[in-house]
Amino acid sequence: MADNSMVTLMAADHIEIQATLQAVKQCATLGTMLEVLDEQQTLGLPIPVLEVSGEALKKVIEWCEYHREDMVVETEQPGVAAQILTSLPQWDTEFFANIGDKDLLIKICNASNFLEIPLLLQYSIFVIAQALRGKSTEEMRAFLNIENDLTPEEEQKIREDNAWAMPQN
Amino acid sequence: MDPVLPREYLSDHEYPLDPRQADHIVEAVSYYNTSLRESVIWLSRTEEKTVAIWASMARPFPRHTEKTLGYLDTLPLEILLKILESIDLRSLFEFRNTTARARQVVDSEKYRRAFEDGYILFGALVKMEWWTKVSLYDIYKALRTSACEICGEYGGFMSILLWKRCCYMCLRTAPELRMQSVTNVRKYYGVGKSQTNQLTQLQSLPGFYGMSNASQQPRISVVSVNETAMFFGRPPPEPKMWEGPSKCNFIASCPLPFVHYDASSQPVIELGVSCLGCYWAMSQKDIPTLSFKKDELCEKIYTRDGFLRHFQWCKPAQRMWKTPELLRPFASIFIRDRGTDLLEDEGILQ
Repeated sequence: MADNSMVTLMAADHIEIQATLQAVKQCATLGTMLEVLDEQQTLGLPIPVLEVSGEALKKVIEWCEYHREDMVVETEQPGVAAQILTSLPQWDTEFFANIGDKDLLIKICNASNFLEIPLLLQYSIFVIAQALRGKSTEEMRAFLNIENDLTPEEEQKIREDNAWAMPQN
Repeated sequence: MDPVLPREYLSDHEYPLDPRQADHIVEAVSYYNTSLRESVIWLSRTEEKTVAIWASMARPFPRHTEKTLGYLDTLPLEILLKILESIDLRSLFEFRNTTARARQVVDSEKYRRAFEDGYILFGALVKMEWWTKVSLYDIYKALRTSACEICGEYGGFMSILLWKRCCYMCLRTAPELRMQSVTNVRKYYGVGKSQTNQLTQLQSLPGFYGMSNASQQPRISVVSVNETAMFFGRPPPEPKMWEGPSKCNFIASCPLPFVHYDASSQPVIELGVSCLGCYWAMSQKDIPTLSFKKDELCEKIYTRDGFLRHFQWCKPAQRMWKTPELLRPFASIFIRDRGTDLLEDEGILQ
């Protein structure tokens, strides 16, 4: 099968998404699956990706299409700690800026983990970390939709910690 | 790597090391050079009032917690930890305070270790308000790398502003690591505050710095001489700025242990040891010392393995090992300066 031939993916909500084979190969999980499957029998049948929502899969494939010429690189080798990024390339910055929705961002992160797309996983981790940076406890609760479950005693303990860590407050 | 030794001290052949004796050799003929450690940022675990709070830092609330991390709940723990490792320490601290679950997630064994092992670095970063620039990942990486980034020898120190692990000699003399006070930069470059404000500045902590233990109580701002020269597009106009010892180098750095794992995956924390043989030989008039500077040999520190390699070629150290009476005058050094005792005092080893 030529790399520019089209395949169909089927997401959790039965949404079908068209992608080039080359882009699909960016996902190590799907790439391995395609190698194992008998081409003749599966030709034209949608590949089930039922663990990922249509909305997230659409974005993931959009990313893979743009990056389809890239070499698939393992960002992490055993024994070698992953490099922490300091910035993203311009296209990817815009890609993530257009997502906007936190829920979708987390879904893309999860999907890239599940589908084994090391670079997209690294990028989404970077974007989530970037969003948390510089936020106060209160701001983080609001941003992540976290409910405060601390008891008054625990709150008191945290105030004591703060007295040490943030003398300026 | 072959050990670097002055030729006067070099033994004629490699000492045949019996692995069963290694621990005894390290214990007998190496010592722990506290004066080097105390010439940089030094926070004592036993004296600081904040100790109790530090110790509690890495402990979760003792109760069952539900998953209450909002949007982050769907992420696998492994991914969540990667996110938390890459945010700065200040934000991590803020995140840790959101819920009991957040505290539990952050206070993993790995976090506790980084905090315990690098406690001086950690404390310095917080006190200098430099923790917004450093992530847990940066700390792990620093703790697990042993080499001086300048010369490749064992580096037992950290230049905080430049975030480079370094050995004492490079810390003292390497042009790359050179620091200066903002006051001097203004004076020598003839520039104002608006310009120096564009440089990366580190606020000093009150303390005693350098080999002369000069007191520096008021907080001063220091900058990298290299960065300054690049920013202004010309080398420092005054030799005073970049030649000779600068107290600012010590003000901007702290001791940093080296952490690695033994065959049974237990962490080994090394603070670095010095050679008692070299120390002793320098005081002996019958052993000439022409080919090196005494200071440089005194400030040399080794990992345990590095010390054993040094020992195999260090004639004075071998002589001491074979002649126990030579060791006797150094008993006080052992009591005061031996790494293991110190670690126990500081509660690192229990």
